[in-house]
Amino acid sequence: MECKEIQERIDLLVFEDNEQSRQVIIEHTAFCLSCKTYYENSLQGQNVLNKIREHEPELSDPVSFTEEVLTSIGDPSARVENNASSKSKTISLHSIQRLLVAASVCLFVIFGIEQYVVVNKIQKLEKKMSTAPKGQSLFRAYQNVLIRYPAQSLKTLKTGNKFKAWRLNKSRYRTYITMAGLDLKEETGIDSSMQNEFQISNNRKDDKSPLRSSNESN
Amino acid sequence: MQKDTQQIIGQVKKGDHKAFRLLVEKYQQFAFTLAFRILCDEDEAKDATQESFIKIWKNIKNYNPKMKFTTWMYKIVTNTAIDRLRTKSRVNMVSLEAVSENLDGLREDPGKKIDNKEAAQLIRAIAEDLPEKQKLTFVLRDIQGLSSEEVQTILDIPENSVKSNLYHARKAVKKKLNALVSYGLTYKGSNYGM
Repeated sequence: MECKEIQERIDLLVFEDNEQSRQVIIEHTAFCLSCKTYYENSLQGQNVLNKIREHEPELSDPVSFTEEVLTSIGDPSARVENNASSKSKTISLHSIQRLLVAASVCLFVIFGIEQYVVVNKIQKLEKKMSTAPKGQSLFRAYQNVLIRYPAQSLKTLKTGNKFKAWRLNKSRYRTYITMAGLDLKEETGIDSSMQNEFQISNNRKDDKSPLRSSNESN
Repeated sequence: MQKDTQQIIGQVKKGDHKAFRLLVEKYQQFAFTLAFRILCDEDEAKDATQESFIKIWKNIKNYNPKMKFTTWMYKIVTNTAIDRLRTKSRVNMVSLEAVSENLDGLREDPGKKIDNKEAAQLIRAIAEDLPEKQKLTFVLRDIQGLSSEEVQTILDIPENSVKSNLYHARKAVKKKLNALVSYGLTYKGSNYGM
């Protein structure tokens, strides 16, 4: 058999396997080097083709594909499933709302407890201040509370104690009042003329006050 | 299976959505595989398959039970895919180098299965520039493994035309395969041990 005919058989073999043809080719290629090379190369090509044939591309998510087709043709059951999915979405939204409400309640309770504790501490401290003689330690304790809880402290201060706080450190007190969003005159009853007066008297007293020097150093 | 299918189709003809659901579930993978092999694109193939099933639903009354359902379905899928192929903007040709690189994996591991991307690239590399009829004949006959009679019915062409298209397609594909393998041998310097 001629090489041309063998090569035609080889070409066909790539696409359609035929045992008889294969045998003829093998017999021929045993003594024909060029046809043997041609056959070997063709077998590699056949293997590439076989890989393509073997590969079955899988449809990703066949369930949703079916639903999409059925929705397109107006299948009510597909719509029911859509409704079911929207229901589940609504349910999940409700549960999120509930969680948010629970979280708000928790925050409210925690904040309330903290407020109670702070106010209670300040009130106790004020009680001590009103009964105890003027002393450096008490003023320092009050100063600490004032620094830590300025807004709460100012709200619970009595007028007398506000003067004390004012005398303690004017600039810091003014800052606290500003931070708490309060009006200085309304809170303390100190108008601008009184402020000057206090300033003068404080300047005199502050020279002797150990608190003044400690505040300045801070 | 065929009897089951005919029963299902009988119900679908009456407008039974549940029966149509069964039909879609049963044949969607077959339809998708063919669409993918023609279009060489996963998303396009999915859309073409969906469109084909909508056409099947609309035209089920025209289905002749004497014909195999898959043949009728493949005809619809093929026509839908061709329409998409015609409207689709031309994709850049696949270079031999790119395909050859994909084949490196197969050379190292002959048992390795190719993925969708590799399969699409290989089909495009060997059949992209074939004339439409030749490409379809080749895909249906040599990749999908359908009989000549089925190809005739699907493409609506006579037997001689199938033979002629297949002959020319195979000749061109063989050339491409040789080039692919030769490229691997020349530039990679080793045999594809598949």
